Amino acid sequence: MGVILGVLASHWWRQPAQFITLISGLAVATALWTGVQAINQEARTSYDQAARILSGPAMANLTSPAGTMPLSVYARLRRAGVAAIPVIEGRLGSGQHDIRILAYDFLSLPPPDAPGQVDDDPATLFRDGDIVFASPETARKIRAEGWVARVIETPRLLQDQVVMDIALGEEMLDMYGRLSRIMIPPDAADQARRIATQLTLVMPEQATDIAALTRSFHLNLTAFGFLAFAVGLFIVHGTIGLAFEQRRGVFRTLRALGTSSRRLAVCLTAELLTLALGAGIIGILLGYLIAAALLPGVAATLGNLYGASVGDTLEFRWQWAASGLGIAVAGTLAASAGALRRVSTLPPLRLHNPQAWMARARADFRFQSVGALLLGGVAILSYFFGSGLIWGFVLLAAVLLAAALVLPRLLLLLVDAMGRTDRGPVWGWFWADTRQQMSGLSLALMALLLALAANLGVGTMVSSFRATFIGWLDQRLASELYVDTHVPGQGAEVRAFIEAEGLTVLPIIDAMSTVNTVPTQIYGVADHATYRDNWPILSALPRPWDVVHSGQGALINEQMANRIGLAPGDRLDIAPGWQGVVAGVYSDYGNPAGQAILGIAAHKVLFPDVPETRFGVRIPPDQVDGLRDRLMIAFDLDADNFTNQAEIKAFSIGVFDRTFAVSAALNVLTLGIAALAILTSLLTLATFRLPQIAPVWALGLTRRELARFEILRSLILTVFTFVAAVPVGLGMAWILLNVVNVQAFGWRLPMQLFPMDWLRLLLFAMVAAIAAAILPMRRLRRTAPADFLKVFANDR
Amino acid sequence: MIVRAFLALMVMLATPMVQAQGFAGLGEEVQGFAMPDPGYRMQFPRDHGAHPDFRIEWWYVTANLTDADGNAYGIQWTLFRSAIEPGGGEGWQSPQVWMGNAALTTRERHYAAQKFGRGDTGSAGVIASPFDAWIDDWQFTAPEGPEVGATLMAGGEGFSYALNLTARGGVVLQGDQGYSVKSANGQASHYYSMPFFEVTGQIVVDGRTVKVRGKAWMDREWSSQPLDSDQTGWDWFSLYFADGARMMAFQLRGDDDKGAFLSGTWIGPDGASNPIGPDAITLSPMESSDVAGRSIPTTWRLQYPEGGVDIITRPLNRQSWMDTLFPYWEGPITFDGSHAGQGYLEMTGYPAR
Amino acid sequence: MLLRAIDLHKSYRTDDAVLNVLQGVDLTVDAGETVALTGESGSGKSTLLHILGALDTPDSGAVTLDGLDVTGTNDRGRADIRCRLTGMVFQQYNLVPSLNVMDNLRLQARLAGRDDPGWNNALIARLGLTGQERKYPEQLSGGQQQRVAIGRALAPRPRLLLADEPTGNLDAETSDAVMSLMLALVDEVGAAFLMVTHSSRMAAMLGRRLQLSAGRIA
Repeated sequence: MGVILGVLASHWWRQPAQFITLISGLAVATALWTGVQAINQEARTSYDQAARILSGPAMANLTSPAGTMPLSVYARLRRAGVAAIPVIEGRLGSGQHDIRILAYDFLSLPPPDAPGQVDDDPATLFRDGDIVFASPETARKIRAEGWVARVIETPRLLQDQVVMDIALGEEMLDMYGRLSRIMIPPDAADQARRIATQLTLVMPEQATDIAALTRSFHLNLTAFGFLAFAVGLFIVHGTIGLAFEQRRGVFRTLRALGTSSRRLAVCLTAELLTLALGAGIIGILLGYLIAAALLPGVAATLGNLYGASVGDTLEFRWQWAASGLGIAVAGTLAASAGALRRVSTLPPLRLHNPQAWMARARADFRFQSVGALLLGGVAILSYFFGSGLIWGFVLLAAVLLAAALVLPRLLLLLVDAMGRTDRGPVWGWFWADTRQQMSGLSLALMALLLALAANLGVGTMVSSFRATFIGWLDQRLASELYVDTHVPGQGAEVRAFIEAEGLTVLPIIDAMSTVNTVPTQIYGVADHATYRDNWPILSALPRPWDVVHSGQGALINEQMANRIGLAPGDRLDIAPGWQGVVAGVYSDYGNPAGQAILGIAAHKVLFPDVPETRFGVRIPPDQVDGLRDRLMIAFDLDADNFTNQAEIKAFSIGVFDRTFAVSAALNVLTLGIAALAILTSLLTLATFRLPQIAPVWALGLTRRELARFEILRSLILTVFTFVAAVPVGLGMAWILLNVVNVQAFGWRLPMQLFPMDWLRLLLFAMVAAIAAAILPMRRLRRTAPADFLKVFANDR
Repeated sequence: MIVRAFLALMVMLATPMVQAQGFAGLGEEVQGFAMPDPGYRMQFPRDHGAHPDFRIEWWYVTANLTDADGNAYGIQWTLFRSAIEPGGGEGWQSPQVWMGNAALTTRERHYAAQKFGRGDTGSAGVIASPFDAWIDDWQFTAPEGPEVGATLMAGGEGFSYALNLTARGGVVLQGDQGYSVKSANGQASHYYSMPFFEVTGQIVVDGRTVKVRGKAWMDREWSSQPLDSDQTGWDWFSLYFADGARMMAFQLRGDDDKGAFLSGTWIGPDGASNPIGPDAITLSPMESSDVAGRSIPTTWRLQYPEGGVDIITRPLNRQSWMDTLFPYWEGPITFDGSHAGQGYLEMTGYPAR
Repeated sequence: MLLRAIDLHKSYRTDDAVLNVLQGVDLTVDAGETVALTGESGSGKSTLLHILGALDTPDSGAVTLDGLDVTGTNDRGRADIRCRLTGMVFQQYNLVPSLNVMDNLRLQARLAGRDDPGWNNALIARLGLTGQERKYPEQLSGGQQQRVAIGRALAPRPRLLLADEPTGNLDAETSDAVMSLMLALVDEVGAAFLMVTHSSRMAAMLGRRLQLSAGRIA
């Protein structure tokens, strides 16, 4: 064993470039996979924790359309024997640095993480009145903000969340005698419903579940991880294939000198496992770094899209490390299974036969075509018969893989076509030689196709999304200035003050209700051209705003329409006492919840207690600051009371860009791997290209010319692959926008094309191709004539 | 009695102090709370209600019951009030904490449950008149006052009860006019009992409803520091004699080098009470049982020579363990010897092995 | 009698015909004997040599080597025979390119568990490779590479040395030198020597000559 392993290892020693290729390919593939897994797991752990903090087993919730409810409801429930848990929630601070306060009765539900203390005596946790629980990061933040409370650091808490006893929460949020909601054990739901008739009972499965909402996002990331790993696997497959190919002579010699096929196969497997484990460990470390670097972006995305808090520090967990190592080993073995089988079954004398290899490559192409056809069938089936997010991804995967498998055949056809154009013997040789190299390069080119298509697809989706989003912001935020007095009584005065300046004031009121058992925000808006002209309506009855303001209809957002299955004209019950029709559906990007719009008159009838505190003001943009200053002085308001349209747009776009930063980063990484795949394929091919090039050299081409041909070939193949990737990428974008997004987020987006982005990608790919060709080319240019001659002296 | 009620304190005070500060911190220093006053004269119905300026207080009912077949049962209904600081406050801001304990004991099993409530949120509280004490859906209500009668309701996992109490006698002041001394150093509480209730009603055991009747005893006690700092626990007896007399006796166990502090009250069938001094009673453990990992004396010899009492008490169920936040033993007993009868026993502060 | 082949048959199937290469070959080689195997191109010399060297199996017939049944054993048994009983010198040398001269020379001996540093060094010296031990095959001339291959075959002291046109790639002068070196070493090791050659001059240097024609030993 030892002798054979030594002989096998000596190959890597003499071919360090190949060794590095193999290790780095495997390591990078493992790294991306592991990184994505680590991010997903970190996020999931956060959600689990969030669920545990609140209720342990899922609880039902009593909520009020008015937002809060009096404490007496809680007492009534308790006296009826319902084990109700009172909750007060709210935000402190402003903008994106809000601290979310979750306050509940520590006596009936122990605080999130107080080992020892709770068991002994829960009262110690509230008798001092100022003990709060927060994650270490949040603890640092609130200490820096000068909170006087004693902060108990609880690593598993969500970021920007502070948990405290209800007595302190009531005080900090100034909610004396009010509750935000009441948690109810699900088995007491009927009883609770009978007692609290004015309140809405939301059963746990109806409640907005962060884990369910974000599942699509994680599936997205996982798909990316798989894609990255698949690209990496192409590299590994190629490298291992070449390493086997180059060592065929050595295998034969070892067999001739008395090594049984079984022993050789065992040694090769041991070698591969060692390499896989080594590369896997490197990959896990790299993956940890990638995940740690990306996690803040992911946390921002999850926060922005779903309101889910995820800490931005990564913990090392054995689960994803093990999954990384497992996939590295499995991937290596899968990539080398074919080569291993051939080595262990062929008789010793037939191990070295270049013609056999070429024949096999042709068989591979045939096999790939069959695979592509099968995958095409899967794609068609999943598009027409599948439903749900998973099938969206199945469709995506099938289309991508089918395209990748069909690529070599397609390229071969192209190369053959080019070869038939008669441009003299040198070009004839060039195309023939390119054709011959196709088998060695096909895997790398497939990897490149996947990376380019993914890049085009995700890029098109994100850009389409962004363009739509900006247009939508313009429509949605039609008023130049928004005022929120916060104080109910002040609303009317502020409104009168602004109207006295001859400006249009558009009051905005909202209340919570339950539509089809889903908590839904109900807005009331004024009858004004601002809405009629600008509101982003997707589909509607004729003159939808007239229907709304007549009190006979409501506009609903796209998410709600999709979820409940409503279309304009359908009947809709928004709250007890109001029935009407769906007047129209509008787009409401980035909002996971349902939303409906009523005319302000109907809204006031339905929710008489909701005060008018928020207004949109139509005002020339250059006068916004002046009005704001006057209002601040007249009503003792501060900056918190105003929202400037321009500011909120800039903020929203910033949020958007940050949201998709992770996709962009993964995109670049995937493309980087593909470039690495081309480089390594060319490098390894170059090492045994001498016999093919030597005759051409002998026939009168200079080394410089030969080198130029090498670069040209790399460029041509890259451009061909790019051309093939464009339709695949656009198909991917279409699937993402029209299948996956609708399932994942509840909204459909119009697809827009961004040819300048394609051009940029093409240039990037060409640069990568040149970079990949440059190393082998330099080696070729430096090859001494004597080495060419040796080919003739020694060849077989 | 006080004794049991000390448990209320536990809610506010940390157990790590048990060794140094008595059971459930009942020996802790007191700041700002009202202190028991020997000159205080109780008035009713006022003193049926809460005394929020004192740190701890309880409403405590035990009953010995039998069904038509002669099977014996015991029930317990307790509401503890414990103040983090003296006085009131609205809603959650109130420093008052409420804890309810309820139990039902049969020969085979002991069922127990507990509940918690906060401040004056309405989930728990006591109103003096018309009398109402409650925590969640457990209730001790006497619209015409406990001097006439009351209803008692509670339940938990595997048990519940609904009982009508009819008063056959009035309030009995314990100690000196309701001022009950708890240690040689003068720790004391305000303490009165109502030991003359006749009971009818029904209990539900594991889904089976049983009609019962029997006797009940209510204890009311409030204080701010009822234990001396080196007292570790207590043993408390309430006894019904065949002739209609009642007796209450307790000992507060001190450190090894310091003896126990004993006290009691002899209550004649007519309700006339007679305090029993520390040296007039002897309590001797006769047999211990293994209960929840502790060795707990479940058989006792009680001697009160002046009254001609020399009896042995035995529990209905040796495992009458209250596995609550602050665990203790509480259950019905029978006795014989010079006299025969039944009663209730409570024991606290026995450390786990 | 060291090596005995009885009624060996072997045929190859090509695209459109069946090529009967061996049609009943019988031969024996005694210990220490040197034998040349000659025949025309395509007469099956190499095939016969591979079968005798346990590299290939006949369609029918039997080979015994040193009392062991070569044809009746399995892949592992044949590997063991190749490793311990025979040494093989190929026309293309078949050195391991990633191992240096000394490691190549020791390779089979190590596989056979008979690595003998003294004998290895003696071989290096006898083969005129002193000073070249740490070089890699690509840095050697053809003659030098063939001498490494001869050293590798003889390092485990095999009972039988098989050679397939060992001087086929070498010029006449080098060929003669390699040839006499091989004969001297075979003699020293005490091995029998069976060599395939198409050169009568080379064949003449060996003790006996077998002519393969029409699939049989003439």
